[in-house]
Amino acid sequence: MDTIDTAPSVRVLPTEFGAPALNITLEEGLIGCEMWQHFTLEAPADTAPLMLLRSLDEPDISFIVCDPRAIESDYSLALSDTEMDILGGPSADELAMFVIMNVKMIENRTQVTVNLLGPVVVNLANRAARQVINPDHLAHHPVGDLSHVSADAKA
Amino acid sequence: MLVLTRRPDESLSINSGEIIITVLGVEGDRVKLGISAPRHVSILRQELCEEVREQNRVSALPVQASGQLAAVVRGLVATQPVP
Repeated sequence: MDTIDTAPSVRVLPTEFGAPALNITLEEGLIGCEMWQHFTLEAPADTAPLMLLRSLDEPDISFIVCDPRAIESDYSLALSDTEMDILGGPSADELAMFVIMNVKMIENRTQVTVNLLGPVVVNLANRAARQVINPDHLAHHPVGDLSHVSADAKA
Repeated sequence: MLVLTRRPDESLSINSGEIIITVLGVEGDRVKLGISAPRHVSILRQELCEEVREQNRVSALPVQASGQLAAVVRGLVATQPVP
């Protein structure tokens, strides 16, 4: 399986937050978003435990992501043999995963949910990644609400 | 799309019997299906993929916003109770 760190046509964007970034490639893109395949994953100190996933294909597309076990400590994911093959046959300690957070402004409240149904699995050895379905979990698993968050933050 | 009509207890054989789909019963507007397939074949309710696709799309943020928002929202995750 091809290991792509940065594809030749991808623009190298400035790293705004100063932490070493990890480039990952989803051969089939995010589910339903096949054109978004190349990403950089940043873990700045000031957003921990949250991380930022930034598209290298679309300059202004990014996601807030985190380890699902920060939300549900016993979160587990079983990968099929096919999925493991597609990822390049990683060993258990070469696997990492993250889930995508959704932040929705409703009036002056901020509702935060996380997609535990569709985690992204990463093979740290070759930076291949894939979004998979983990049934019996919620696509909008509630994390919490914040009130009085400035509307400017999402503008 | 191949369209077939089956009665309860009738089956479809896919890929020379590698996958068999059987109509187990019909109750009102619900059809109960049984699927026998090798372990490596993933079988999912289609709407799950659609839910994930939808969440992906609505969760995308401009690069400027995600960093700022994450710095604010992280407080919610840091305070999750540990069982």
